[in-house]
Amino acid sequence: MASEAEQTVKLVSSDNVEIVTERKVAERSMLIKNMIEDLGAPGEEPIPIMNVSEAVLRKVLEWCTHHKNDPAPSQDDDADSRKKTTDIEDWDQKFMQVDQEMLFEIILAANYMDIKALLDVGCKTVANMIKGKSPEEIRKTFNIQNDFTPEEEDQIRRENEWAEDR
Amino acid sequence: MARTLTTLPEELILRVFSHLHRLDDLYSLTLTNKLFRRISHDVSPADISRLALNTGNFLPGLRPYQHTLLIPSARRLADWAIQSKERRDKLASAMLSGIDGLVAIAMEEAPITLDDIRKTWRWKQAVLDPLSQEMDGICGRPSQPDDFLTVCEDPSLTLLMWAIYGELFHHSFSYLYSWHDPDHPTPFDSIMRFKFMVYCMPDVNAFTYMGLERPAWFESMAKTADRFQQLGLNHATREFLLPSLWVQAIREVMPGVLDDNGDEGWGFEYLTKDRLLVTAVSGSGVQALDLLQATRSTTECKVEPPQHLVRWVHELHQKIDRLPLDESETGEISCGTPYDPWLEQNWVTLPWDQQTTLWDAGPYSLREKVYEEHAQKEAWDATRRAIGEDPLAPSTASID
Repeated sequence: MASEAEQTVKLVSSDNVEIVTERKVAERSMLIKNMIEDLGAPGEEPIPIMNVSEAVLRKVLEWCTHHKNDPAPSQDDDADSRKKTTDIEDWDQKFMQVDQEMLFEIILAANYMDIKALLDVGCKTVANMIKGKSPEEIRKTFNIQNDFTPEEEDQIRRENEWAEDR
Repeated sequence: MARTLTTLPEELILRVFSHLHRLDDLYSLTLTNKLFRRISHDVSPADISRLALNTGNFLPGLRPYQHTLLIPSARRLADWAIQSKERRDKLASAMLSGIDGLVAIAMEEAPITLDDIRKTWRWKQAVLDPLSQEMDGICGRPSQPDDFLTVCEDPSLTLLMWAIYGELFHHSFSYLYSWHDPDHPTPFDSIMRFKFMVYCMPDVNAFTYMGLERPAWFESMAKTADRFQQLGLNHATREFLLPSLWVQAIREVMPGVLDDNGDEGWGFEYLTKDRLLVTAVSGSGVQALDLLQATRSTTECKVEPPQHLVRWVHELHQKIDRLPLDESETGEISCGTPYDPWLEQNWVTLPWDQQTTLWDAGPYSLREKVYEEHAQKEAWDATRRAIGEDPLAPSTASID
């Protein structure tokens, strides 16, 4: 029997494509890790990743491969606001240089597959795209419709005079 | 359907919001569309506080920034810290890093909301700025440049410190008339107040008089901020923030109370009910300045002061009036005495603390106590060395 390090698992994307990967890589996803533990026989039974298409799953696994030796995140990290930074390491920055549709698909997949570190990188990437932008620039960047009436917009500005006082 | 930011589940959009850089980014998002506006209401106080800390001087309307953030949080920080020795120590230790350290611990342990920021900005416009302007006219920069040591260089900062002191040490003030209440927490000891004065209202003279080494951050801070903050306060308390100011304010909302003693009659040599009322009102932080501004507007515009302020002063007066009177003719009252290694009594006022830390000239000689403590520690260290033990810590010239 193969050692844990050599074991592989079969993942099946939402568009029914089977992808074989190292168990260690796949286990960056807490969803897959828990499923493997529940199934008890890794490699034999294909694991369905129902909400993630092949293209996105391959991209997510690329990230997991690069980070397969990272230490496991601690439980406290999520709740501790003080530890939040907007820094993204170089490799992750390059990894996230994708079109917006893929970026948001990665964020959704990371959330569904329970890969907190990847989810954070995705959210930080979006936060960096927002940094220093005006509402109009944000709308333009993300193709968002302004659904406020002029009166509503005035109301928000009045409520937030602290931010308008420059 | 192509995936976009607005089609993400709201919990994930909120997660993006929690990774923003600054408060103005969050504000831009609230103005982007209705969905983002709604989600912005769910950003946690911890994240708002982190964004507020990162925002620094990008929001000029909230300057002086660090101090303004303490207005909504200092009282809550005190309520948190008062609960255990460990927390008191953590607060005292944070103060050694100056106002930045105090704001950091406030944002961590007493986080603020966007609503706090809105209210603080409105308070700054309605109360702080007009009072600062008035104070600037009375004790701001003079026309004679050689008088620079006797002016209040930054009235707004001085008034903010007055308010923050009252908020942070509100247990000390309420203890003066609630000492008989077994549920009232023991206030912070005076050393905490002195640390606040020396490190959070730093003044080049205070470090010199106290015999304290100036921390490295003071040198960099002093390049952009007033190096004479306590001196400015000293001037303000002699020219503007006098007890008579609050006597007048109290009379506006409660005619018929307090004898007209002028400023000479409020020297606080001993405790009377009238003096206690003036001290309690003037030391009540934000509300003290609210009362001042409300009653000064009343004088000019003939507007009734807000009912909540009237009720507050009346209730305070009733509480103090119920305290047991001493038999003496002076009307002196007891205020209880919690254990405090630095003081013989627990009377608290900002001018007294400031006289102590700036000139070592308040009702208690702090330097004498510091040296006494220092000598005791050195003797203890020597004893430990003699018996072959390492002293616990090297002696330092700081009041900790």
